[in-house]
Amino acid sequence: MTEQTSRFKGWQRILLFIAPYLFCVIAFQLLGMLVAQVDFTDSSQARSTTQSLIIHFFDLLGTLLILWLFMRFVDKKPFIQLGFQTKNRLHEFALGLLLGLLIMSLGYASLYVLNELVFLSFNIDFTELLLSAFFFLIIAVVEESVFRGYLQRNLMLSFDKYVALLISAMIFSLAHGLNPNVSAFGLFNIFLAGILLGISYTYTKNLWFPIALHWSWNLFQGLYGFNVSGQNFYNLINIKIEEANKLNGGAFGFEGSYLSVIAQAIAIAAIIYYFQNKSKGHVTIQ
Amino acid sequence: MSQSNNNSETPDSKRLLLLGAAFIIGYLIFSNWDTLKDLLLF
Repeated sequence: MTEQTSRFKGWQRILLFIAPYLFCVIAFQLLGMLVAQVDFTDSSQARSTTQSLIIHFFDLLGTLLILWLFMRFVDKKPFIQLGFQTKNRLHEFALGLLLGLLIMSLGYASLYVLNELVFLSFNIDFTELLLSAFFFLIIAVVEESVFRGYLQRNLMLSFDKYVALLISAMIFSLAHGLNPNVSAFGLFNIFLAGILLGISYTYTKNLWFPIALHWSWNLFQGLYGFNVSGQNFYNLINIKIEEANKLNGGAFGFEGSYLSVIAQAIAIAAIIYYFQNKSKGHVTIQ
Repeated sequence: MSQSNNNSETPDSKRLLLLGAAFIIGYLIFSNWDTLKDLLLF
């Protein structure tokens, strides 16, 4: 079988992708809002976790559809080459989950010891816990497929892999620019998160580690009582932040804090160290 | 011999059509920005 090649360069495919992607996910989310019976003329209306889950499930469908269409007709590559190969990836997936849990646990403990937050109560609700887990899994799959799987991968075909990583992290950060409670420092933190989530992809071209880390990071950040990227979700622990500042992250969540910068810098260094020592040789991107 | 009318396919009318479509899309985005913004949160 002869292999087809795309007539566009990597960076050109990204420019082509943006408008259809936005159109597709907006259309699918509007459909999701209809199914979830959310009034889309009233943006102030509070949504239940179930409604958010339904809307983002449609977001996932729209994202996978547009990615499939682009991989099939523009990139002319199998969909799985976004980085969904599962062979020997279980330990990386588990590492990603553990890393997110570790960072959020240390972050919560540090802020508690520093009196930057006050523990109020537990808010145990197994249904909400389960829905939140599904919700953040969908968010992780959507964002990693797009920002790492499609954007970073195509950037790597046009530029040096570290330049590609920096550009994809910048796009990832800018994409969070419309989030509530956002600040320049919050966006810098998201930029670092883009590096953290994308660094393993430069070595493996595989999405399971970033998906697991992204999932775990968001889920445990929310469960520990913080906002997640400026948005409020179900909290397993109710906390009170006496005074919002850059040490505790304020209303943007832990990922708006100095501690998050430190944690991410250490994690990035550790991942680079891990992969450079592993040195199984280069993976050829197809 | 009858002459076919291709006036509707001239470049000018296509340009006008694209401009009209862009205007309508721009208007829809602008007038529904609050809703759209909620759909573009990451």
